[in-house]
Amino acid sequence: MNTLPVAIGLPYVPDWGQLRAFAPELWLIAAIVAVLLTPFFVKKPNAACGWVALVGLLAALVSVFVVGVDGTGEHFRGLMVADPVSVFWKGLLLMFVIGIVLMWFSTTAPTMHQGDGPEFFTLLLGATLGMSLMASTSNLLMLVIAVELASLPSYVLAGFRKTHLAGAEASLKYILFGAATSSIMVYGLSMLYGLYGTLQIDGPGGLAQQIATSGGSALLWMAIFSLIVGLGFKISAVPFHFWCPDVFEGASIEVSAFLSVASKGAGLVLLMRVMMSFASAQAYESTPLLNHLAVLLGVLGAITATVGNTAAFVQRNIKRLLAYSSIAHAGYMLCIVSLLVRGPAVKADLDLASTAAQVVLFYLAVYLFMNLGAFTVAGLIERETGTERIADYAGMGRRSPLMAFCLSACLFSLVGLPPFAGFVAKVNVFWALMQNGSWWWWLVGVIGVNTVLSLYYYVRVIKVMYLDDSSSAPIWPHPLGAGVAVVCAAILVFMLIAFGPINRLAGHYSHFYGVDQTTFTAEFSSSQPPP
Amino acid sequence: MEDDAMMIFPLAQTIAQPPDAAASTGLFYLFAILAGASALGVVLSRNIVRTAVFLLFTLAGVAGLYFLLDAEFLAAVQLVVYAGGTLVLIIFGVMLTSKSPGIRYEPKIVEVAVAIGVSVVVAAALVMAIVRQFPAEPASIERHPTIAELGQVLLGDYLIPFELISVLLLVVMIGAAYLAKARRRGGK
Amino acid sequence: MTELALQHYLGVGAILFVIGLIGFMTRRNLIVMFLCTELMFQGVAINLIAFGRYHQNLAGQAFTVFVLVIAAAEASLALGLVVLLFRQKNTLDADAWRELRG
Repeated sequence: MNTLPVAIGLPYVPDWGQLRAFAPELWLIAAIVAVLLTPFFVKKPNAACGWVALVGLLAALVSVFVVGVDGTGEHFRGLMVADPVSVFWKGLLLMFVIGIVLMWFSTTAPTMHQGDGPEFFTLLLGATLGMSLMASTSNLLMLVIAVELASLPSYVLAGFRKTHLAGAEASLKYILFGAATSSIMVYGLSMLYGLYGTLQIDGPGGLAQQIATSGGSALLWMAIFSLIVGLGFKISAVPFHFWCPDVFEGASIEVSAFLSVASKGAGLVLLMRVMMSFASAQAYESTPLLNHLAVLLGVLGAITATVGNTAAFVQRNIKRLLAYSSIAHAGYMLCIVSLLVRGPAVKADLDLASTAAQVVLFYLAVYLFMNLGAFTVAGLIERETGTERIADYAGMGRRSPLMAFCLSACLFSLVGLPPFAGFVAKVNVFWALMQNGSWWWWLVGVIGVNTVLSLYYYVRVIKVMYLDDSSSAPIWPHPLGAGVAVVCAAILVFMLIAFGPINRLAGHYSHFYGVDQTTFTAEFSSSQPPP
Repeated sequence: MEDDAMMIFPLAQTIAQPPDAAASTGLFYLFAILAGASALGVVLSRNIVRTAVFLLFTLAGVAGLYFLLDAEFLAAVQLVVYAGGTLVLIIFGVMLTSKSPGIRYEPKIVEVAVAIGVSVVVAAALVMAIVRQFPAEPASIERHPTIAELGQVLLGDYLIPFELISVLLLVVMIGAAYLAKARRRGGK
Repeated sequence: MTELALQHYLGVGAILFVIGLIGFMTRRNLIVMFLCTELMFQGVAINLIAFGRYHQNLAGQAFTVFVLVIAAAEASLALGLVVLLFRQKNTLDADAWRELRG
């Protein structure tokens, strides 16, 4: 596979048709520049930068809807793809970051040192740009750049409260292990390049196809392992998870919330894209390579979920509790990514990539609102009372009924109890795993046991809020933050009621370019939702 | 096109002439041993300034290997930007932070044993896998890509990553400046 | 002396990578730990360039340019952080940083 210059002497200038699908990213870059220019015009730039960032994010979100799915798929000489999955993820991500900025206004904004706003929003928007690019990469070089563009600003955001000792320490741990895992990942990618002579992941002559024809080898396994190390660090899968609780505790609360959904979601979408390319190039047959890979991912997911849930038991700090809970949820979603091989129960015409993507996208959509709501309430309570200890939530049912109700809704949804959308998201996970049959039943069992375990520590928080009494004064949360929390709780109920249409929407957007090419084109030419 | 490149970068063409086999083998072992021995020095040295200087020698040795691999541009970048720029930055960091350069810490013997055990296994597995996977005879090189071609690729096929990395550098620059920026004590 | 093959270069890359890995796991000085990740990136770069020549395309060299930029960016962030931490605690021993636990 020779990728030597196509036409030497002619520099490549992508036309608008190529750029159009990446309008959201262009808006984000414009917003970064605008945020950096703001302090030249405004004396106290913190809030102004927040507004500028908000406008940029809204413009990016609108452009996601306006541009929609660009039918051409491949862009910039195959470096990036704009396919339904990436569009859906970008929509979710931008909505979520808008929520984060609103949360910042209602929690951290008053205490942030005046003049730090431009830096904060530059880093936040930069990380968002990286995370939205992560969903669109179809080339190893773009993969590395997108992952680093998401990681490097996150390291600084984790230690943004410079006077906060724990924050600086968390940032240190994060960057040390981040640098090590990213060098391990790039070493593995260099092996992939060496084995197959191309950086292209899918497409004719790409890695996925060559792996399908040549089969596995020891070096290929090392490369795949190191890719999983690098992305597992972003997802906080278990051997690489220990940064997560420390960073969540040390960072300010909107940064913790941001990392809990955006970093993990982007890592999962990217992992899913790469794994599904490999699997679909081998037609989901149970080749030794795919079988082992599926078991590897399944075991990784099961261990991640179990460790997350058991470690959450002993937590006394709400941010650490939510950190371990987010590790557990990443584990559930990893279990879904293990659907690489057709189990005996699956019909040959079922497209596993789309099924897995549909379940994960729906789960991410629900998870986004659960976590945003829970973190917002925690942030508001921290702002009013200055505490993150769960024991200090005593009497919250009386002190602030609205906040207690919103937090309870989010926590119930995190367990997976009706009448909240977490219930259908989890049922969806069970359904997809059971469909595949065979050893995926074990995963169903593990997730079931984990759900029961998780009931204990989530409900403990609710018990403290409603049953433990305290004489502390009532608190009046910031109206904007309260609004965010209420909207999240309402959406969780709404997503349960409107499960059918939303799930169909996720199904409609669950196609990877190049993975299921036939369904992809059929889907978006006839625009008929799948059954 | 080849002639154009030759006119613009005459030096590149002369350097790209491969030296004879014996000389390049000798140079390879020289550079490889320089890089490997200094890498060991980085890990083993107890003095942080010496560690940084050992890294300088590793970078120089690796740059030599780049020359042998016909990657003259990267070799120059490695020497000028990496060894000359980044390492100076690192030494600045060392000087700013270590009033006593010889901060000592002896890791537990168990930790060292585990780390060396793991690493030896990884190294052995890597070497065996590499030897089994790739042919041992030298690849026949018909032509050397020129620096002009590398530039065309960077601004052609890889134009988008090239632009994105500039955004990355901007954001990282802001972040690093923020972290290192001193502030009046007050928020503590 | 035998003639040089791809394996020789990959061997050097693997050795640098593993030495960096050992150092990262055993040393406890923050700056040394970062220098060890730089060593690992050097191993990666040798791999990429050697493979690029083996496959007769420029993708490997282009990748290396970006890897070098990323390594430098990581180094600058790390040093910014090291300066910040040193100001707070006056030590660079990683084990002194144990505010957060379990």
